[in-house]
Amino acid sequence: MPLSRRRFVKLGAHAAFGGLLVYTLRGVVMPQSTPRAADAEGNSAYDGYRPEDHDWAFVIDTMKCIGCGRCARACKQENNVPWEPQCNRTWVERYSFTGDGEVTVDSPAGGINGFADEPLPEEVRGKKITKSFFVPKLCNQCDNSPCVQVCPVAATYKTADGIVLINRGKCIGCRYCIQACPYGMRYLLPDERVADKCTWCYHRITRGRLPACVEACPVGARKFGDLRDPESTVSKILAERNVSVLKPEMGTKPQAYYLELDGAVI
Amino acid sequence: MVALLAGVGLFMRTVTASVSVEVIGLTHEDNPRWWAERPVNNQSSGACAECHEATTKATTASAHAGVNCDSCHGAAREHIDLARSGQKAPLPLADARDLCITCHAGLDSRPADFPQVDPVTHGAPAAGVTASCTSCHNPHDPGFPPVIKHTLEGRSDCLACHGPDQWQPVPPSHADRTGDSCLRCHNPRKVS
Amino acid sequence: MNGYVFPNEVEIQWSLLIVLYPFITGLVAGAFVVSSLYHVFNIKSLKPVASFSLLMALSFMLVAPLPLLAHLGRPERGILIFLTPNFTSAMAGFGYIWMFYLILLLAETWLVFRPDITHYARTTGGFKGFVYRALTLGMTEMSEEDHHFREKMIKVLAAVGIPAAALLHGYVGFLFGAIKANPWWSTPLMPVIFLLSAIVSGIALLIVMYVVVMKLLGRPIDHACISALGKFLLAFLVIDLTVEGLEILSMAYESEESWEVVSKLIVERIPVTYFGVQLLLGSLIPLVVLGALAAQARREGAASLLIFAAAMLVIIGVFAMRWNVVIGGQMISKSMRGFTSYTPPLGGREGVLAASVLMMLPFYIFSVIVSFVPPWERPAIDEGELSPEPTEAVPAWEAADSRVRGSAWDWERQ
Repeated sequence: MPLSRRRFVKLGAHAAFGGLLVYTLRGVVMPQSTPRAADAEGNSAYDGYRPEDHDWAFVIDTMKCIGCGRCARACKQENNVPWEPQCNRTWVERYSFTGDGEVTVDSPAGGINGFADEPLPEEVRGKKITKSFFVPKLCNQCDNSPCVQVCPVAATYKTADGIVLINRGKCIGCRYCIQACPYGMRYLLPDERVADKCTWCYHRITRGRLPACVEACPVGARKFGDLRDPESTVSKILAERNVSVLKPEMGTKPQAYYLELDGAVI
Repeated sequence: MVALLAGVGLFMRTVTASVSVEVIGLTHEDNPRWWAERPVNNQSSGACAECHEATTKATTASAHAGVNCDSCHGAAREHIDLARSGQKAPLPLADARDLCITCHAGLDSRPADFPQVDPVTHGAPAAGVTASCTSCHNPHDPGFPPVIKHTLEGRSDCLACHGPDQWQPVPPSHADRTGDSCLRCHNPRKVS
Repeated sequence: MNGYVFPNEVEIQWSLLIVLYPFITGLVAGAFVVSSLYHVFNIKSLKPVASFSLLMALSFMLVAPLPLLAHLGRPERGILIFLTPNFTSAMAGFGYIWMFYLILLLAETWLVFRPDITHYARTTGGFKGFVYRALTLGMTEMSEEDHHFREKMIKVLAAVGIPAAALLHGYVGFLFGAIKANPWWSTPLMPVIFLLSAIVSGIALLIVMYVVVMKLLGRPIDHACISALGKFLLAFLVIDLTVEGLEILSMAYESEESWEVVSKLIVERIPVTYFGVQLLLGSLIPLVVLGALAAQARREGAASLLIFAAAMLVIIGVFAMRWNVVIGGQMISKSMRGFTSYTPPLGGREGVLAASVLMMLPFYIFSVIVSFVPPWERPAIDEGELSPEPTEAVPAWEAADSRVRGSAWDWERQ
């Protein structure tokens, strides 16, 4: 009967619009911290590791880094990251200050071959270098992570121990997270065409080891530890020394801290 | 009408909430486990000591204590798996000079207290011989200053570093000893 | 690549197809707004294009998800946006907003053309007749109540459709505007800018399509309608330029850290598409032309031709704007110290050829739809009437309601 069908259609339209409104409003209420994956009973423990007992953090000492690129190389070896096209979970940047107030930044192939082949960045040849140093970079596993916020299908999430991971089975490859990351840490895996990024070697840290880049660093420029353990290196550094983070104004609450970070580092 | 809107809104919210995600089987529950079970490719000192105890011991007691075995020799997991199962497991090493230079080439950006050399002039080619860094430096026990291997056989080996135009030429007092074997007088300490 | 870009930024992520998507949904929103201006606000001069624009909106709406799907790394998982949406993601809104709006468009189109469909269902045979009968959904006759319901419902849908259209295109603007990582995108004004340029592009394309289609069919063009559309185009263009101008002015004045790299983008990297195409060709010239025409008495044929030309420029300008936003934004490295470049490939899933096919598809769909329900030939509806003359005695309420009669308050006479 036309009448009831009409009413049905009308109701349908109203209901749909109402639902849409609720949906939109629900999404607008933003938490100030990315919620961590639920500590479901029995599901979060693997091989005796309980993620909710840990809170991982990274510390980088820029003054120690020698730009050898071993970290970037070890990462690619460890995590089977493609060498071509250029995908980098971690890289090393070189900052060269010339006397005229200019800073030149370069990172040939992300630093995986070191910087010895290019003793000076092209732009500064012939100029006098006043100050120069290396800065390793990697995913900050932000506590208020914009990449988790924008993923349309919730394929990327934050674990109970603080690592932001990507569910490769869910990722639809829309690349919104790559746009949202202020640090350029994400990339699309060329073959699987899903998003990928540094995981602080989740498979190592859950087994009591250190991330590959931390172990590879010959001079101890990279440090890693558990903030829940007051005796860990990172806890002590955070308690005693001045640290900073990259792009603090973004409000992402990075968990990778830098010692002696120069203001020119973005 | 309001009640209807609220009801439908709630229904939509529930239908699309994570509860149903679990029903569809697309939860995150198993994903951390997937990541945690990735293979550990870089093994470093612990596993290497199993077969290479002496070398590992020497390295970890030397100035290269912070240098991972995998750093220079490549990710060791496959090598270890093969070796443990009794198969041949060659681990090709990149050109020694390139490996050393990535860390030890003199760069402005490197901390001043880090040992660096000018890769062009240090260990420069001698009489057609390109000295590999390992000719003089033992990568597993570089020492500081480096202990230079002197397990050399004859005069030509000595001249590679001690010849007239070389790195540490012999003093003028040797001017008349052009034909002698150096080992007649010099018996360098043997360092393995 | 110039300056320093982060190693993962060598290639940009969102390609030509993502330039196409907001362009297409913009056209939908714009065309729908014109249709609603007639159905809700009773702007009589827009009657000739009211149904036309609805069909145009529908044709583009059907194509809208295709560039997105083609762009996904995993298109087969696209359905997850419906099944497991993340409430904090603007992109997750796409599935439901698009679906809701498509249903609304289909409903309104069906209602608007219901008299025609029921008429053709009775009078046509063969395959076409079968299609008509299927489209009637079993309701082959229209009673008095049906007509009344139809009129009321069209108004409701047209009214609801305006905020829905705003949501359809506004969410895209928010999708970009909420990315704090990108200084060219991050602004609360982005949804407004997107929506305004959407309406502008929709009106412009409507003008162009209407003129072209009428010319192809050898039918007369309603110059009063074109003139009215031209005035609306002018009005929205002015507002659009104001808001866009405000945004860039604010950025330049406040001169935050990112301004250095953003200004370099505009001046060094995209000056041609920004100043040349988007501003000069696509905004200022049409502004002057439309403004001059609005100011003086219209001379039918010549005025319409100029409005047509202005509309063409506007469409090109809005496409350039989408390009400048999507591609331009990605050219800025997050290191704030360098730029990437992008040239769309010719072939491939995201190439120029694929984009061209996707852009031609809505016009093809439009031609198929109008072969069934041509909006310029309404056999069941007389000229100047929203609904046909009733066959039985006119009920008192209908005689009293002058809007139904057609001798309505004329917007232009005010």
